Amino acid sequence: MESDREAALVLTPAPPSLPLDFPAGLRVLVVDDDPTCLKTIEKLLWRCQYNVTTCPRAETALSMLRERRGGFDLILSDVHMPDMDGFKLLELIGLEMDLPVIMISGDDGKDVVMKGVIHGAVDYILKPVRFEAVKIIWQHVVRKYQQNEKGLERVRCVEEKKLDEYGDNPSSENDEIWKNGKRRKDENDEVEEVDQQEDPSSQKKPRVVWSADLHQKFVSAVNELGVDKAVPKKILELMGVPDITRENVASHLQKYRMYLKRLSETEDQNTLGMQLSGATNSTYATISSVDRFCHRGLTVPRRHPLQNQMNLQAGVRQLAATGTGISLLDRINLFDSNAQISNASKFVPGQQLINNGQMNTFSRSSANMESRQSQQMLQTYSNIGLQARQGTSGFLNSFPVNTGSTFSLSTSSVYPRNSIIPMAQQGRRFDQFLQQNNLTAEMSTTGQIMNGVAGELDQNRLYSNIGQQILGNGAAIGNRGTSQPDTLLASSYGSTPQTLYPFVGTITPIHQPEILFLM
Amino acid sequence: MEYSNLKRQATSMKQNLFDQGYLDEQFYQLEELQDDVSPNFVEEVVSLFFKDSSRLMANIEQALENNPRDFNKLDSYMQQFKGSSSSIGASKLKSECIQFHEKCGEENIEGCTRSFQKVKREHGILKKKLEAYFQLMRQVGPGDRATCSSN
Repeated sequence: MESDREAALVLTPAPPSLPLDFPAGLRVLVVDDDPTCLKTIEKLLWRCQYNVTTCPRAETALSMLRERRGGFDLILSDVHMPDMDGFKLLELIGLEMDLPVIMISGDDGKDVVMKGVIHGAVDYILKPVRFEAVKIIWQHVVRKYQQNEKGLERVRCVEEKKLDEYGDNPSSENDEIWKNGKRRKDENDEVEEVDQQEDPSSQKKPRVVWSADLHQKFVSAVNELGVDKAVPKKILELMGVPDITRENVASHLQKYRMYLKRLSETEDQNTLGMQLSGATNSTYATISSVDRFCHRGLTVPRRHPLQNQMNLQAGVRQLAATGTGISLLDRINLFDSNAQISNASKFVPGQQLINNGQMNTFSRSSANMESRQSQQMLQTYSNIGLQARQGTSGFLNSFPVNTGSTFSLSTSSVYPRNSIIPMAQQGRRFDQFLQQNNLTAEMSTTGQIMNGVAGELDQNRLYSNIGQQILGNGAAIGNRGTSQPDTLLASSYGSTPQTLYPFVGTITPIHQPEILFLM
Repeated sequence: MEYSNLKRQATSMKQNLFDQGYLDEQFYQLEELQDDVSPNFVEEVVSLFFKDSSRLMANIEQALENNPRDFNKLDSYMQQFKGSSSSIGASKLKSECIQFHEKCGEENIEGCTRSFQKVKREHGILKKKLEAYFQLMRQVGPGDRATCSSN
């Protein structure tokens, strides 16, 4: 028996029962802001008999994926997109849906391809995309399925072992949420499932969906215990959520730790810096984020007027001396209102601003941004994230202000390029909006994060306490400033919980008030 | 007779574009994708390209005039341009984009500006040539577009 179980651990799970005409009908989502490429790739994929959905914007893609959970098998995403960095999207998809993502780009630079690897892309295809390249992308779907099955298999074996040892049922797997995103709904699959259910000892553990809410609880628990010291059993206890097992927590913890590690590694390598550049007529600018924001009727605190020519380059953070503020809108623009904020993405390398003397000024500065500005911007960053979010609320929801919970901010990614151009543009429009509507905008830096975490946090905690430390200009750590942020936060709560991984943030030591963590 | 003349003309026009390096094998790929479901696929994609690329070029132009220049932004515009150019098989245009990318990397503003002028020029030339080609193709007639696809 024992040996059987042990053997089971090393057995490769059987490939899924696939429909006869597989890979025909494979449900692929293509995300690319370039209409020419989108049209070409779409046609190519139809030729492969895949079921293709296209999306010119990352945000929309993310919404679609969320709304239609289990509705897609594979994603193809462009790397350089104006509204969200492809790698960020990649991370979010990995966290929330765990679907295979293939990056596509004309950029064959080593660094860029490497980022794909680091952030978990299953492949990287160069443009122009050829038929041969997409013909066999179905392999990634099968591979992913196998990996999942292997994981479940292992878990099951461990559980069985425990059963042997302790003679009791270790957890209530039966009640776990079954995540079946990759399963095809066809006869074969159903038959397979039924068989498994009939045999309790071989019952597969349903995969837990780590919703924003759940993840939040997880992170809170981990923070309480200390990232280094947290163990699944204790985390589970602290979380107090039924229907998840120690194993679920353990694997999530592993993922989380790897995520944190990636964050810290890239941060070391990165030259922090927001690349700012004047952007006058960015055609990328979209009003949408502003609109959404506006519709919420939120009062956006803004402390500083927009600095004209500010253009934040996503993902590059920079802590700079206090300076002029960035308009709220600008900051909002930094975060793509939708997905970014709410989706606490995994820490994207280099995005983290840490005030440990590592702060750098703008890398490659052709930037005209002064450090002040950037600093302000940084602040804004987090604020915006919080406030601008339209879908983020979920995340915010779970974290009541002042509870020391973590918060996710998502930023466009580290990889400079397309992201922020729209920001400045939006910022200006937002200013107008504010004026028109007599709204006051002041930058409220503290609002969000606040959870009263003050002072120094050790690095790990910082990671998990993102956003908490976003401080306003000159604000002392933990200083909440106005109560507006609260309102904002409160009002922004509400919709679908979306965030997964917290955005890391750090607090800057007192004399450097602006610390911005952007993820 | 008239018809086969037209056909011949179109074929040779296309061949010239290939011989002179304006187009590469990706263009064949587009032709392969043209079918009953999308009988005008190639022309549609190419039109889409020229429409979108004009917008991109306007952005680049603007970005080149901004002070100070954001080379990252310029480069990212160019990446996109390169990606879409390569998707329609616009070979020379793609090369010019690569040049521009290098100049951006060097943060050489004069180099960038000059390079961009070349990009614009190539863009204009290709546009004219392809317009002429598609015009001819339309005269040739839908049924024969497939046969005009070489290889």
